[in-house]
Amino acid sequence: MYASQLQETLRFRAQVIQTIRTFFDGRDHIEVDTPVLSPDLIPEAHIAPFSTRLHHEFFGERDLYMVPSPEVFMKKLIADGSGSIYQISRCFRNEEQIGSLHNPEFTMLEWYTVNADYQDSIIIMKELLQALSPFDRRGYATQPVLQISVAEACWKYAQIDLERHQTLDSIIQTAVSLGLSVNRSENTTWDDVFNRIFLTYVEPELSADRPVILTEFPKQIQCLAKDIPGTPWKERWELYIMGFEIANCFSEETDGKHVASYYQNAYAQLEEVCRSHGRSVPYIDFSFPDMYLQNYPDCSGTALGVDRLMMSLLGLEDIRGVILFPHSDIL
Amino acid sequence: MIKAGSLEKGMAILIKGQPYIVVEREFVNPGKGSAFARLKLKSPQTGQVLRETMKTQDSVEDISVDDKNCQYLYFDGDVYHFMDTDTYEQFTIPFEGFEDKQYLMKEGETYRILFWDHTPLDISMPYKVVYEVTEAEDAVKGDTVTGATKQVTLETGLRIKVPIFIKQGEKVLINTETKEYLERVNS
Repeated sequence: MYASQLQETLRFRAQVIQTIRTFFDGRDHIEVDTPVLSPDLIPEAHIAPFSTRLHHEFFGERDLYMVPSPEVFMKKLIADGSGSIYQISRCFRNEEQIGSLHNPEFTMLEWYTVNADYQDSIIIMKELLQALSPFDRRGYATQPVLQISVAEACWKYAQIDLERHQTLDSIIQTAVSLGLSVNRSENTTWDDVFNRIFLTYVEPELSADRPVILTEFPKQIQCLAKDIPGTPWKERWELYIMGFEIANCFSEETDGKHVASYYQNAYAQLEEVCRSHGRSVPYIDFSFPDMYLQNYPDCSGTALGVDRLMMSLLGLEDIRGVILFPHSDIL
Repeated sequence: MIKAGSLEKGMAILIKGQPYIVVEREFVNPGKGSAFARLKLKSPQTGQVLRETMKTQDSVEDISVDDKNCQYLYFDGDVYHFMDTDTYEQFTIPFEGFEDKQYLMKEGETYRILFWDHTPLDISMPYKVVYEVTEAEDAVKGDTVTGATKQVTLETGLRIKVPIFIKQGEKVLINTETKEYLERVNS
């Protein structure tokens, strides 16, 4: 890389991050920095953590995990009365592809707004994109945002009425009629079949030249977002720019019983995945849901991949154009 | 059987009993979902393109295929005529499914053909091939804008855009996948 090009990349990263800080500082969100090494994780079956070992004469031998997201600590800060907070930090995910969209470590912006829901976060997200418009070299990221629900997108691009296909049999039939080869086995789940339909027929059709906020994800995809009562959906959205996922947002589940039941179900799934991949199950702290039993504030949390956001601002299709030492080069 | 996560471009698999070649493979990790391989598959017999997404842990039936070196003889308007360079046996390959090869293959050249039993699944082209320019208009005088291009016809009939300094009779290196000009070759 020529020195001038390197300096431009360095300056671009620094200025985008500075703009994000100024943006949240001006909206009463306090910047925090929580640990990278955690003794426990929130159970997520599909995230493989990097783990390391603590050797200490008092604490003994313990596994520590490099956080796949800072949420475990940020949610504790909210419980302790921090108010709205944000963090720009390094996150780590093992066993993912290393290439144009993934790197084992990446920069995440995570923000939590108290007394807010996922709709409020959409407003913040749009304002943040506007604040970044001086860096939008290609004009993709600051076009008017297309907002569409998962159900509407499934209808528009695949002519599926998703609300009517909430059973496993029905979603399998739908997948088969669309042309996917789905064989029902004992571990076929609704969300896997839904994802196969979504990734094959819907996601590739999402507009690439303007941001898309896809709202109201199916409840059957387990996560810590609030349910929308009386519907099969959750208060959750994802931001796509140039056709790839940039951010994920919830109205955070604050009912302790629901969080505890998420922990039980997600842990069972995590154990199953770890068993089939032959890796050990990370330590999960089952007392974590207890903090929701005492007036946990209503809040909405968003996780945003900063490197991918930078790609979209530059119109790049490869994350290695914005990461300084991509692991595909240094390994 | 093979894990969908181990599939690579160019591999052959069976979907509902039919052979397909993997022409595109991309890994996607949807938020809160497992890892998936998003595939574009092509039926070598019908040319039909099938979109499919599988969990990287799912098993798919890969088929054993073998490569043979075959000499391309000619195209008769319906089918391509080839000869197996080991057995000297002549055979044909349908145009359907291999339309894009018509203007890339040179008569008399040897290509590697992928067979499943006796069914040809793919004719593999080297990534970069040198072709002779058989028809080229002279560049317009005074047209010195950098990056200016013109259309030329290559020995195989392929028409492509090249920089204006390329003349008839010269040789050019072409990317056979994108059908794009790479550089002039000095003979």
